Amino acid sequence: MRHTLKSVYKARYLYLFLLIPFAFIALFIFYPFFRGFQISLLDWSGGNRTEFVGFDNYRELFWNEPLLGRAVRNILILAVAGILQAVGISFLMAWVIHHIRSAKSKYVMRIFVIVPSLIPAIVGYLLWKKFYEPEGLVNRLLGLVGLDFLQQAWLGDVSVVVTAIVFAGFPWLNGANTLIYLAGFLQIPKEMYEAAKIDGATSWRTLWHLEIPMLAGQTRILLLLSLISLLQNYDNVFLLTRGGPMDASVVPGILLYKNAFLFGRYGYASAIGVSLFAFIFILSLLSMRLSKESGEKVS
Amino acid sequence: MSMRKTAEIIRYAFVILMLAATFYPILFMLFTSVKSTGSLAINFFLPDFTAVHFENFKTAAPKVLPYIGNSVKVSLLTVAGILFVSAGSAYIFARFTFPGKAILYQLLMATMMIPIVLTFVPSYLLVRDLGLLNSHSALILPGIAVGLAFAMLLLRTFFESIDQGLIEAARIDGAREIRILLQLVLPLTVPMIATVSILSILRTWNDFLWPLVTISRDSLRTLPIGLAFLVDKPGSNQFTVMMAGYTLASIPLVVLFLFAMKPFMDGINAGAIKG
Repeated sequence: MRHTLKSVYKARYLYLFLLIPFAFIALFIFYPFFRGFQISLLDWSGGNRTEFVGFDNYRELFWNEPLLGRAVRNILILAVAGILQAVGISFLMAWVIHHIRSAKSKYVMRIFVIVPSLIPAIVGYLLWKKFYEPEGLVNRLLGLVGLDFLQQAWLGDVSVVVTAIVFAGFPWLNGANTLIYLAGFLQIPKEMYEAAKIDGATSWRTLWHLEIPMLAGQTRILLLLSLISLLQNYDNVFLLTRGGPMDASVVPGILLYKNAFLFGRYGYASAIGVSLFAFIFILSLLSMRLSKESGEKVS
Repeated sequence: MSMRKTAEIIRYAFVILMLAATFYPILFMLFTSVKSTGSLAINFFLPDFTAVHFENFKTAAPKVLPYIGNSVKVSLLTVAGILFVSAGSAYIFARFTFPGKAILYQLLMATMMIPIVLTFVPSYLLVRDLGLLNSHSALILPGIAVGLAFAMLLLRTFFESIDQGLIEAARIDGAREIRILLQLVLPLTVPMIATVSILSILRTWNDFLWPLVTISRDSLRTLPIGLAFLVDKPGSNQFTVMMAGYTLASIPLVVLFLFAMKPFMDGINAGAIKG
């Protein structure tokens, strides 16, 4: 005990400095985190009048929310597509670049890969919104190659709007993820490649038995981070359609935003937030467990 | 031999096609920003260098520049805050042992697992109750809090990888802890600091929904919000003018990257994210 106190005293300046980060996260992350649970049990529109309603908000969300099913379906579609884009395309791109022989070409390609991610994301979305207009780039391009019958109001049609949101940003090059994978490829020991070569392994076999397992660590992290960010993401939906037309592209985030900031229903919006958090939390745990198991199998 | 060559050609073709499809919208934005409306009607897809029309920029600049200014201010202050707090804390966690170290670190890292959706509404109410709505502090202070953990993770890993012998030698020579930090560790850390800064700036610069709900006064808006509402501004709903506005909005990060490219690439290669 005495010893601990002594070492605490010795480290007093360290604790003093650590007060700064803890003040920040306590006020702006942990406090809102717990407050979110509390507000979700209230009927509250932001004013002085609040009423404790127990789980009424949750009951309403799960039994009476007409948009819940569609929001969940849409976010799952967008998340699966987004993971394929953010992780799959990045891996593919890094794999191809890594095997190009000229070091100079590789260097130039790496720079070209990262430059597009410097364009503000919003500019990308706004450009695609313009491209999807009836007289926009997409329809003109379709006309140019003789696919006139495909021309339509991409963001204005209930049946194609979600597909259009998935397709926006084609070919979905993700600079940061590609560079992370490329750095991973460089860490694979040369001897392992040579051993594979001596064994007469084809590029496919090398990919499957050497490269994918060696990059499992990066894949695990990128999968988890993409999953977490995609499930709560609604920037793109908000900018492209605001959930429309006729709520066809609604996602949970849009539902939360509208209830909080358009209808002023903070309690109900918080219940959506808490439910989404629980959903993300369970999925992250599952994916961590799954990738851990597969990781153990490989090694 | 020829099969190896074919494979190489396919690889080049793939990369070039990917890059072409990625860059076309950006180039489209660039060359449309210097087209007149008439020229756009005739030639939609390709650049038109016969009549470079810079007036679009003249119309767009006064509308977009104030937002760029706001975004630069908010991003710089946020990143400065993140760097100061996270570098100091990461160094403490990497170099010293003290009671409660593991728990405190876990607590900080746990903030990365808390999704924004859950804290969005309560954070808004908090900022409102603190009287920070319609001020840049509403963006900067929570921005620092959210960015801390990730920066700390990268920096701590990096500090721990620094050769301890070097530091011991300096200590034996009688250098004080603060001098070791400033003259020995800090110069080695430049690539990692560049990486952390760029990743943090990218996040702050692109943040959309939070500034959308906390800032409603037009003169305080950051770039993403300003751009999203640009259509509503008189004189800028013209397609070519909007493209000029978007182009202006894209310049600052590209310029920043030109200066920070080398250390940033080094930082990423140093294995910022290993998994």
